[in-house]
Amino acid sequence: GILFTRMFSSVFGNKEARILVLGLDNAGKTTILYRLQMGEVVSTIPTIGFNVETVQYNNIKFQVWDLGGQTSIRPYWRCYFPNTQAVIYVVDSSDTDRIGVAKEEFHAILEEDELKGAVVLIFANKQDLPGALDDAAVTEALELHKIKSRQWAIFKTCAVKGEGLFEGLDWLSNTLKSGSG
Amino acid sequence: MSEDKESDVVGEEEESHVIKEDKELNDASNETLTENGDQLLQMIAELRLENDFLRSQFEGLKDEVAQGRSLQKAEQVEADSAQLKQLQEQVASLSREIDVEKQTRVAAEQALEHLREAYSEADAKSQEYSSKFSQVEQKLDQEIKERDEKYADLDAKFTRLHKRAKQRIQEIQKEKDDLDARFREVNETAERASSQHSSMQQELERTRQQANEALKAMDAERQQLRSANNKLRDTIEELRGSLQPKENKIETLQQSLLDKDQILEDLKKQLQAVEERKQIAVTELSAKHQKNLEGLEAQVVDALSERDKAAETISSLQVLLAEKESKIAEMEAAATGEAARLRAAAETLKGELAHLKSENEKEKETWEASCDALKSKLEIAESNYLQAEIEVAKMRSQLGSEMSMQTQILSTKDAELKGAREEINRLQSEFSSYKIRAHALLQKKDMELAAAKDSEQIKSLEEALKEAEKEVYLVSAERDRAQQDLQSALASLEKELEERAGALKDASEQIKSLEVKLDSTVARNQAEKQAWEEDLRVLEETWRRRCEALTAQNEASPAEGIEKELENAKLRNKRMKEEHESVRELADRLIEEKDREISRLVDEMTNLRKSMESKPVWNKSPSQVHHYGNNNTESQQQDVSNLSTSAAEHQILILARQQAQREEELAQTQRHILALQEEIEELERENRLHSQQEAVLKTELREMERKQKREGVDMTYLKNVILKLLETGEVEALLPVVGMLLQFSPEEIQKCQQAYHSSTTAATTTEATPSPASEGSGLSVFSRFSFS
Repeated sequence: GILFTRMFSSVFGNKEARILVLGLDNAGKTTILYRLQMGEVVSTIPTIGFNVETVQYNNIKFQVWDLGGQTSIRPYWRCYFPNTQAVIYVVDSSDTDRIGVAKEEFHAILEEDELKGAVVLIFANKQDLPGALDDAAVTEALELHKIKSRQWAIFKTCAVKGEGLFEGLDWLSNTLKSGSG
Repeated sequence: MSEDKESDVVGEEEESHVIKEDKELNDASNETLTENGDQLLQMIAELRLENDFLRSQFEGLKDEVAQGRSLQKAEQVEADSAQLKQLQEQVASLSREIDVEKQTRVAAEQALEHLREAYSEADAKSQEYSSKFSQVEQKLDQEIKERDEKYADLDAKFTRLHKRAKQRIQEIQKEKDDLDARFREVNETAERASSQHSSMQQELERTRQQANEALKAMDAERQQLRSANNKLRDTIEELRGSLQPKENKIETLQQSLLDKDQILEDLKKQLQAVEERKQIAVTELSAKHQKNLEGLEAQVVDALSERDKAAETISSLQVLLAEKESKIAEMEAAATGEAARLRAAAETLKGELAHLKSENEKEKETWEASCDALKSKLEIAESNYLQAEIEVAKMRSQLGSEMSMQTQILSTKDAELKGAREEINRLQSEFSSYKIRAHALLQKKDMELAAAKDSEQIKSLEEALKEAEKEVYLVSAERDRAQQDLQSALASLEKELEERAGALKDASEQIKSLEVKLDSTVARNQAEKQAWEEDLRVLEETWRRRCEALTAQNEASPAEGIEKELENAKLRNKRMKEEHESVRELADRLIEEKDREISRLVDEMTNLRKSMESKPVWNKSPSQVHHYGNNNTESQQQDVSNLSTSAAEHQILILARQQAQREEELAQTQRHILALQEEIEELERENRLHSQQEAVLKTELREMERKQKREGVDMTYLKNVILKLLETGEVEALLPVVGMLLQFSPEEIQKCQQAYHSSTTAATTTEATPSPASEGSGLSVFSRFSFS
């Protein structure tokens, strides 16, 4: 149980972080979550709701919240924002049609007051697919250079293959460790 | 001369005019002479002065005329003939005129003479009048002085008398009051005492009756008890009577018993004797027997010894025999004869022995027989004894049964007796208690009687009362006498009062003038009041209009504009209140002023009344001189004062009525104000209600909005979230989500958070303790889910 683990970690002094995995629908959030949690690829259905799992990595317990990215349920994201240390924003690099939508959603998230102190990690997912934009292109598309007074990073990932995910998590754990002492 | 005449004529004309005037004045003065001496005197003096003045004028004129004549003569000398002619013509015309004037002068002189005569007559008359007047005045002065003196004396006397009378009246009244009070008290006490007495007597009678009844009852009970006692005594005596023969019987039985006992004892003695004898006999027998036995034994022993000896001898003999046998054997042959002899001897010995034995047995048998006989005898005796004993026992049992019966009877009788005695005792105790109670009651009654004997005191009080009554009678008689005196005094006083009534009229006139003044002031007041009322009405109207406008605004205003309008209304309300208060203050001030005026007028009135009252009192004083030593009552004084003050009281009544009217109007206006205030309050209440309604409507609107939003929720999403919530128990994280999805109101969310926090704090505290058993107990439903 989460409570138990939390209690456990509080007893043993382990770090704990609440992370939200956001992004448009069909970006690969759930796949990434279970790839991180179980280390394997699971078949997924569109998440109408959310998934939450705990991932232990680098002495940090990541409570990863994978929120459904469909347009109708995107407004509920904000309900999950309180007490969030980091946001993993997953972008379908191959879905160039909706990259604008992704950019708008991303910047809307960054505007939120409750996520002021949150670290942002961008996964440019689905690098294995043809026509996928690379990290620089995604950075350009999402206008990441507009981010101010916030720690952020972008990683090329392929959830199906498990590429880039743990690098990103490394960065995240390091950032969180240095950030909160 | 003509001019002189002319001037004379003129002077006479003037004089006649003056005289006419004088005459008129005289006539007028004659008319007023009777009324006013002073005026007359003054007028006379004035007239004289005028007369003198006129006379002096007249003389002056004469001198002037003379001067003019001398001047004319000088002129005539110097003048021309033409002028002379002219002058002569003129003179002729003038002489004609003068003739005419002479004629007129003659007539005037005649008239003057006539007037002079009239004047002299009038003068004489006036002088006469003046002398008369002066006389009258002197008289009046004297009279007044006398009267004043008299007044002063009388006043002093009167005041003294009045004081004394008052004192005496007061004393008497005090005495009377005291006496009355005492009388009343005494009466009351007497009544009370009598009532108490009567009640106590009634009580006493009642208690006596009760006591009598109780006594009767007690007597009856006593009689009953006595009868019962007697009965019981009878029964006891009967029982005793029946007991006595029984006792006799018992005694006889006891005697017989004693006899029997004696017999028994005798028998016992006999028995003992018999036993003793028997024992003696037995002892004797036994002794004999023993002796015999001893003897026998001795014999036996002897026999035995003999036998032993014999045996020894036998043995020896046997030995001898043996020897003998041997000898016999030796000598058998030789000694067979001897053996046979010996045997025979032995046999004889044996026979002797057997004989001895038989003898012994016989003796034994005889002894035994004797013993048996003795025994039989003993047995017989014993049987006899037993029989006797049985008999005795029988007798005893019989007696015992009889005794027991008797004792039973006795015991029953005793029990009965005891019961009867107990009853008697009980009755006696009851009786004694009754007695005690009766004594107590009697004592109480005695006490009450003793208390009732206070009636003696009452009697003494009554005597005192009678004395007091006598005193009262005396006092009343005195009073009556005084009253009679006073009435006589009153009669005389009334006469004088009638005289003084005239003086009162002046006062009443004064009062009337004051009344007029008062009326005018009242009218002014009313006018002012009306003006104020009008003001008030205007205010009211404005208020009403405002109120109506407000209400209209309130009613007409839509829910959106309510707040603004409310604020406006409140502001207006405040303003109106302020205005209203200021107006009210103004009105109050005015009213106070009016009140002050009224009070001033009332004071004036009272002063007037006082002055009026003082006048009659002052007037009354001389009359009381004649009734020195008489007592006056207040009622008569009041009668006197009533006569004088009735007019003033009437005025006061009018004034009071007016004041009451004014007060009524004031009250009306105040009521009006109150009504307006109520209206304001009502409006405020309405406003409050409106605001409340608004708040309610707002909340309802929010609720409706939330409901509407709730309808557009993705149910799948909701389901999944709920599912996750139940799976993970992440209430803190998911409460906002669920709250948003289901559109919780802020209060609902707060409630949930509070509940969750309290449960988590409980959980963390329980989790902090290492015991796992306590973990599950304090957790909420969701935290429990996390373990499953």
